[in-house]
Amino acid sequence: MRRVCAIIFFLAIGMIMLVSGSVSAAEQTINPADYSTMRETIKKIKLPTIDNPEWLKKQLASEAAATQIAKQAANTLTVTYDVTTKGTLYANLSEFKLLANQTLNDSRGWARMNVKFVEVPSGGRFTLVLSQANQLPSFSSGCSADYSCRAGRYVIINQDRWMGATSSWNSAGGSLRDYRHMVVNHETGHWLGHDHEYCKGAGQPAPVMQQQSISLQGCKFNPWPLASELWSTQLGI
Amino acid sequence: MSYGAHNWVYNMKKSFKKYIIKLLPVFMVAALLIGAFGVYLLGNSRQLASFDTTTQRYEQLTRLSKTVLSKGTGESKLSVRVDAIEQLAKLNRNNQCSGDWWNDWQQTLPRIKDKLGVCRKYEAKISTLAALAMTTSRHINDDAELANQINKLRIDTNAKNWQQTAVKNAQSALAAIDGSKPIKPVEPVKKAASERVLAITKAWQALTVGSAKQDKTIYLNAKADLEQAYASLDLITDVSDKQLEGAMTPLIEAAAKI
Repeated sequence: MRRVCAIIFFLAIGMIMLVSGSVSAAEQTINPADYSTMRETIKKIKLPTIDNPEWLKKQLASEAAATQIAKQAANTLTVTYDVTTKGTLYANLSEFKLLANQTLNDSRGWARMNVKFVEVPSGGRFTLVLSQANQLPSFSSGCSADYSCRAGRYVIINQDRWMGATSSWNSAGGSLRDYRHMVVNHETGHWLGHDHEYCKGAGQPAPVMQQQSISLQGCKFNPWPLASELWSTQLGI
Repeated sequence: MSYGAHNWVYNMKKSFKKYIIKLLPVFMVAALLIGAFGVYLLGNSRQLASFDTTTQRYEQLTRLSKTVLSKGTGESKLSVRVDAIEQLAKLNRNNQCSGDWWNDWQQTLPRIKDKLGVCRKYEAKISTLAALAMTTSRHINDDAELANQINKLRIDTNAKNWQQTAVKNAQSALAAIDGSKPIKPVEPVKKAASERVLAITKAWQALTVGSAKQDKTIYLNAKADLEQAYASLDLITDVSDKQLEGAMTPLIEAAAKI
């Protein structure tokens, strides 16, 4: 029995040696990298970053700017409005039209929502009215002869406020030009879908939808909509 | 001297001559036998010495074969392996087993005959492996020479006007590659290298033209081509590896059997 076991043992050892021998022969594979410098040489060759020359940088920048403008133009929403008057006017209507249009399309104003306001002779989406003060209530019972107002599609600017702002505004040191920006933006803001806002904290710029004509509530006067006010239910923005 | 004494001396000389004449063949045979034995010993020692030379060369072959098959990465290991192939290629392939014309007969003697068999076996292996190593060595050298030219494409961005230098180096490399005459199995590597480096030189030239003309399209296309051309250098590696593998296989297989 011992002999048989010994024979089996040595046979097994022999088989293992044979198999391992054949494996080592089969493992004799060639790795070209073990004998050639080509791979290492090429691995070290890299093209460095080539900075664009100045002329190309300028060209690309101007093209990018043009593309950006074209993109913005393509995304810009056009809102038409027409201008009319109510009552007897002593204000300069041309100046009113010009300043109102500048305000609406100012890069600090509602135009930041990619909206372009275009004045049309008639049939605009809203009507901007320069109204004699005492004519204001005729638009709506909610409109007062003391202030400007929005009634339906009408954005009504009180002629007296247009010409002299308010005592509150003036006493805070606000300029008439800024008041005019503010009142156009404020009343148009109502048409865009905004209600009144309140001062968020003393010393902060007032929201344009705050009734700055009446009180600044501790805020600094601000004729332009805040970033948080750049939305419109009317335009779906 | 008296007459009697004189006569005695004369007779002695005469009889000595007779002896000498009679023993001369014996002396001659003895001298021939001694000479023949000397020649045998000399031939035998030369024969055995030549076998020893073969054995030493075979031992050298064994060592070099192991080195050729050795593993390990890095440039130093690569250099050792390539050096071993070159030494293998330089091994003397003259058959050292044949004796001198005047003692070839000794190879029929049983002791010498056995050693002769071993010697011839060794010489056959030396001859085969050295011949394979010579071919492989030339292949490796020609491939390395192409790699050396391609190495000119390396760019040092710290150098002044490095772009102009890169253009000149690429043109120089292309000229050297096109002018090289590698052995046939390395020709595909030369062709691939020439094509890739030509693409690089063309792209550099186009970039220069685009820049001079301030033409955005030419410039940017050239820049893209240049990036592509540098990235495509790997194609040379593929060809080189394939060809080298073909050249190495017989040597590696033969070395593994030593």
